[in-house]
Amino acid sequence: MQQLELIYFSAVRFILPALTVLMLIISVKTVLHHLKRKTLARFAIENYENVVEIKSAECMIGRSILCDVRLKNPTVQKEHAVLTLTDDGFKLTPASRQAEVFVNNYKVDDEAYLQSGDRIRVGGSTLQIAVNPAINMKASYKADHAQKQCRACNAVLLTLFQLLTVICYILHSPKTALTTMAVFGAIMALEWIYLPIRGFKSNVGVEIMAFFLTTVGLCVSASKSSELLIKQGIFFAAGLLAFIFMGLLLSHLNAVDKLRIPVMVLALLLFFYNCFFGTVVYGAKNWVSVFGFLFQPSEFIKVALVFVSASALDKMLKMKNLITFLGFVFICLLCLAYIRDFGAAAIYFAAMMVILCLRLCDLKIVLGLGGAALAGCLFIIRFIPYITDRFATYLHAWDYASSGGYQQTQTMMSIASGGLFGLGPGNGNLNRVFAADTDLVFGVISEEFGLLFSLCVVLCFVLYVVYASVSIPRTRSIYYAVTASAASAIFLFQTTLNLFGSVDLLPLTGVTMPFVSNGGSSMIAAWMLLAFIKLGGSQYVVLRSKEAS
Amino acid sequence: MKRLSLRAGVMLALAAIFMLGLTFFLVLYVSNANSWAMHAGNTHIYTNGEFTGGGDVLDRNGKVLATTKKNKRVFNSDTTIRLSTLHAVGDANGFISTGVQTAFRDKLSGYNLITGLFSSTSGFNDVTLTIDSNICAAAYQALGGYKGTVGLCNYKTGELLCMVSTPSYDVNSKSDLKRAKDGELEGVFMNRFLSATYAPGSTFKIVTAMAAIENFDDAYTRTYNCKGGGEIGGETVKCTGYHGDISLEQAFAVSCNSYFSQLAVDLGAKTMTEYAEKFGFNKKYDLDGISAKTSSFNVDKARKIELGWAGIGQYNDMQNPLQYLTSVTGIANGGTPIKPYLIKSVKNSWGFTLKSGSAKKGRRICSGDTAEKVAKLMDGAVRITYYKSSFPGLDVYGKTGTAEVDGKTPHAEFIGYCKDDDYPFAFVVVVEEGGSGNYLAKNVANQVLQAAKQSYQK
Repeated sequence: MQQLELIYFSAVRFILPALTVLMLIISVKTVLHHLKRKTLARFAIENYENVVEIKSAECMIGRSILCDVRLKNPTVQKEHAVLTLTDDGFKLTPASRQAEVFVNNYKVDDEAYLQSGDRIRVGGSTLQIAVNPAINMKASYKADHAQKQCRACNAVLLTLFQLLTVICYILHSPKTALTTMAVFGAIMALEWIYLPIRGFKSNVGVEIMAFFLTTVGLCVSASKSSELLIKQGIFFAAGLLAFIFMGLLLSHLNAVDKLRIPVMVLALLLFFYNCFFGTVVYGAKNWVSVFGFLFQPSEFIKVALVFVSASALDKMLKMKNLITFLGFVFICLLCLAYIRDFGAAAIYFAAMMVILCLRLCDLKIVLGLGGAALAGCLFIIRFIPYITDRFATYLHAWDYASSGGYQQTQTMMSIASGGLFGLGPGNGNLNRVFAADTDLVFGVISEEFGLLFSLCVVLCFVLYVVYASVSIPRTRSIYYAVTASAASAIFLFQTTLNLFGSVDLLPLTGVTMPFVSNGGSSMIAAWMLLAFIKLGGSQYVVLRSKEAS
Repeated sequence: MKRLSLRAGVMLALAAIFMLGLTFFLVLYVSNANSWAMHAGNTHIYTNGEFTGGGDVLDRNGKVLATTKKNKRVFNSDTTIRLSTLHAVGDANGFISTGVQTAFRDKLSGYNLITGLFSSTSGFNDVTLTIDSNICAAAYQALGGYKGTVGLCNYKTGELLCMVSTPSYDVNSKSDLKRAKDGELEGVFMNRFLSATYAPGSTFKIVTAMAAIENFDDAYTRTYNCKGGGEIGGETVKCTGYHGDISLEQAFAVSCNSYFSQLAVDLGAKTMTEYAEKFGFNKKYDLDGISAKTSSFNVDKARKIELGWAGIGQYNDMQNPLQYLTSVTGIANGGTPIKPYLIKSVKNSWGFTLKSGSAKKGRRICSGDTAEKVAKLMDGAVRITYYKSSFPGLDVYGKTGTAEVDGKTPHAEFIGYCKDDDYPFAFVVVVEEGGSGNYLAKNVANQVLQAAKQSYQK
């Protein structure tokens, strides 16, 4: 039996990374597919002198070089009108009060819905719109056959991965075999209930990747203890529910807009509660206890931050909208500083920078804020003892291998011990080190599954970022573009701080790796953020057959 | 949307920065992973700072010198074998940095960049050494409490059969370790065979003779006068005897200082340096990658009399035993040395041989003709001064040295080889403060050679 086990482990350590690499390649292929864009409408300018194809659901008409429909007419404003594709069709809105817009010679005061053949007068220019009749107003993402096959294939690969891993854990610790089987069985069941209902034609690639990452997280838990595995399994189910709920909410942009202020208020109230009644765990007062459950408000407020970060393009360009958002982030950062959660503060700040950038803010403002933040960071590093201590061993972990640099050096030793293919699930030693299942997860998975595998894991987060950014031009609303980008940037940022912190290339801040690190708040928040990325990929569908005609 | 699409570049930039960081980490990983994995804090191969993550260390006959049982490193049960193989095998705490258990712990643990330490679950590697623990034990006993070192190899195959350094301590004895750590045993953590250098004394006359043979047509006929010493520029190099007018063969056999110091001066600093370096001085040597201390010969700033002293292995000349042994194999092999090696084979837990040592030729030290002539001189020295009967059953060619050390009894040295196809042994013996080379060092050499012979007869 011992020999058999060894043979199984020797084989599996090569099969698991191979499956993962395959999954990643297929995912990259489907993401790149998004680069292809189809025409939603055509504008004929000045009696067919010029024809502009509209490929994005929100576009700007004006004189500026950065407008989607550029009119080189001095009577046109730099940014004159906004064209938005909504569930009810194309909507035209003047970009400012000075901008006069006429549709079929009627002046547009607030907004106007367009139909094919409508003549639009913007300043001294006239345009005629021809809407692509193949647009499916149901406004959800539908993929072609090849894409569907890719996703189904990935789902099968994932299940295979899970099965092989479960057998490893059963062989490794037969005593807890039942628990392991139950938890992994349950999540596999959830996946196979969820995925067919959603259908492989929709962009479930986003979820499949998250299922994979969550599975990796469950492995980290399983290596440590079976109680942790059960907990993490429950959090996964909760996360999936939260994800479905968020998805439903976000698909109603009107509701989102109405909820913007209430969510801000609620988030701030929660933060204040945390500041005054929070529980201190390991030097940071970032925990709140409700009915005996400890959770981290900052994780959920992060979701709120993304939720309130944008509006539809027409509303977002107004100054008031920006100021309320900035005020909200500022108060959040103050609260985080007060509860000494500087890792989270860094994440919030990074998210804000990405959001400002994508909200088309003046780059001077963005850079100015960045500079101010840098100065602030240097101040914090220099003068706050708890942070200064963290920096004492930073970049010198090997000199303090048995004291301040213990976690980092143990992580590096474990990564090296694992080699490219790992020691096999459950065979690691790093999970005995303090906070290994949250802060040092990169080391834990490298040790047990190998560096090749853990690189694939972190590349998933890069892929989310790429997915969010290639979805931007086709997204249904700038709201989805901004929030999806912000959410994916948060993922990547957390991964950066977690991974490089654990190998002493950045200070160890105790930031979690989304989906993978242990912890309920972090898991549920990650799934909620995923909903933004998912919606970012949704778009108005152009049916193939009709388009051809 | 056009502007937004441009701004989306920020996202790709973020991803690019992350990938750069990841690349940087991977570069670090590739260049440092070995030292990370081998760190004493790695619980896969260390237990409380003690190296336990290795398979067996065996001698050439399969005798287990060290192994791991229940997370504890266990050494051979025979005390003399433990003491005599200490520096070759090394300890579990890494005090002896050149020992196999420290220098080759990655091979013992089976670590490599690709599979990591998977061997920690499947079984560690066994390393078989070329040394024979019986010969080592004989050498340890022959040294009889003196500090020093003995190295013996097969000059045809390069296998290092014996590598002993004294003082030694018993790894099983806590009080021994304490004495070692307290510094009571001078240089106990150092393997003298690899990491020490000694004044070569008269053994260096081999180099001076080589230079003369290749540079002077009248090398065998020219004579120098010895009046209990040789005069060089008004100063005298002392000699142990009163040899009168003496020629090369005689002078080599009786180890006349007067002859060789005057010869060195006549050869000149440049030629002497050239031949010393050909012989291996000032050159880097290593044993399977464990680097040895470099032998040195430097007469750039020497006065005439100092050059004279340098010609007989004094002044600032320093020899390293590994380098000496290698060069002796050169004389035995007609000018081309064989590099001694220690790792006979590395086998993984499935029994596959991952690595096996083999003979590698070194840099030629002299022409085949010269090697033959020098060999004849060494033969003569044994015949006339040390006597062939000192080595029963073996035809030993050699040269002793008595290296003067300031204010101490001189070090006794003996280097040479057996001219015998059945027993192709080359050896280096250094007995610190052992007096004349023709006494203690010679006896130690004989005992070790007899043990080696016995081991080869089996």
